Amino acid sequence: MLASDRPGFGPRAGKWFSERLGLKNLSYPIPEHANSLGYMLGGITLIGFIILAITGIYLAQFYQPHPNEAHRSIVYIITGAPLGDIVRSIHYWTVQIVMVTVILHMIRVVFSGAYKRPRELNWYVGLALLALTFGFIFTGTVLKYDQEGLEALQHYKGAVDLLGVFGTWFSEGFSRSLPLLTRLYTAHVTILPLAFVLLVLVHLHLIKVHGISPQVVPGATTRATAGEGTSRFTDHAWRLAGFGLLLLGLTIAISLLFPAPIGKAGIPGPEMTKPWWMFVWIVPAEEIWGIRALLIVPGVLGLFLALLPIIDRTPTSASTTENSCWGQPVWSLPSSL
Amino acid sequence: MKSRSLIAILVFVALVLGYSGVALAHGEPVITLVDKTVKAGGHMMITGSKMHPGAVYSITLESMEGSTHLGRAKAGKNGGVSARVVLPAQVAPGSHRVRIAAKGGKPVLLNLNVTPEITNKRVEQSRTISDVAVQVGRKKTAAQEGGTKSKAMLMPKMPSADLLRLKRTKSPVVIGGAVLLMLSSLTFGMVLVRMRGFSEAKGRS
Repeated sequence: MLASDRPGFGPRAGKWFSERLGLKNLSYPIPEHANSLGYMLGGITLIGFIILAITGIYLAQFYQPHPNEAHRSIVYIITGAPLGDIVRSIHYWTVQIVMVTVILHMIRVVFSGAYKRPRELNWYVGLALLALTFGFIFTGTVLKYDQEGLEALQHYKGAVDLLGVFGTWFSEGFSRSLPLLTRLYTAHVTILPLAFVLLVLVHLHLIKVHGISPQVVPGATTRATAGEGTSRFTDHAWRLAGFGLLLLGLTIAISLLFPAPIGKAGIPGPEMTKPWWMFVWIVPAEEIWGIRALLIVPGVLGLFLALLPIIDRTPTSASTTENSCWGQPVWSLPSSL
Repeated sequence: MKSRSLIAILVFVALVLGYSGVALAHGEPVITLVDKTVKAGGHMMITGSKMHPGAVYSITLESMEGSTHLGRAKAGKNGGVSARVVLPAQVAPGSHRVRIAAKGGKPVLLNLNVTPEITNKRVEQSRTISDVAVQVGRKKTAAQEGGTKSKAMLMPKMPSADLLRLKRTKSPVVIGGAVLLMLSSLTFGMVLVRMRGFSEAKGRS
């Protein structure tokens, strides 16, 4: 072999890793529409969570999860810790964007009928991941321990009281050795991430088993698509990495322009703040039913979403009958991107 | 074979060095705070042994709000030291660290818990606030009754939805680095998103 025929360092390194990690196995076929934005929202959300995990690990080096120190340590993160303000802002804005992608992903799943047979179990896993996401956001809000965080904690205590004996584990009185804030911090950094990672693995496994849900076209059914398609998963992964980098760039840009806010240290008393936008839907119900709404509304909504695959057993891709097919116009835009 | 022997030697040397490092730690200065909890404005005692005789140690309070130099202490001929330093009254209550270091030496960090300073003024204020709480029930305030105490002293802190205005200055290096990361992320992200059929193209090449 001539010296000039020898492949360069990059291809050789790629081959070395591919041989040892079995990367060739990732080049399995997937349908072309899986590379459209609408069908990549779940993957983009996952990358958002990776950014959140990395920035969260960094912030944990400076955060003090004790009621006397929590707010002070956040102020220190913003004003004194190296890169603290920018990392915290990236964490904050990634949460906002991830919540948007989670909602859009869920809407896409509903409109494309991806909760139907054979993907019902993955729908339930997705619902559990949605609940965990709200758990992450709620505990994260409390950790700031500003007025907003303290009021969120007061709501939490009220809801736990309503649970009676079932809320013992979550109550302040369960542990005398640790403040509730410290326990919520533990949930935020260990319990929720562990549950989240396990469920994501199941979610990804089931996507691999059934394949991505078929494109919404008249007459299409929600069958398994594993092994079908002209595209490759490796292409999908590269494109996903591209969207992940765009997400990172976007959050850095927003973080530089609008650093994450922090309120004044929380003082118990009359309610002064409003919840984050993703919890606003619960406010009107709370004004009518009081603190009970925090249990009733998510419970009813969760039950409705859980019953969706049971109520709607039609085999068509769109979530209604083939004739109306209201999902198609909605998804024609993201699918074309 | 040669490379395996080299790796084995390197591992052995690393283990020996690691062990000796632990052993050397026994000869390091032993410095302690007599009281782990001190009131702001109060004093604290620091004692030390096995220190360099005659060495001057700088004592600094490291807080989330910044660093405060508290004083110096000189080790005696026997390598022992005993110093009494005053904590500034304005130190925020909570966790702090005391940093003790000789010039060019390895610093020792000790945890310190600072409790709020109790002054006559604060006792007076807390009494006044509790008076208000009692008198509100009787539709009277201390201000109406006494009229001499200031309004600020009488009013307990109220919850507020206001955002905290903080000094968020970032160094040009941080801003430059963030902008560079942002631009490179956006550029490479756009390239990857626009690239179609990566594996096929790779396969053809």
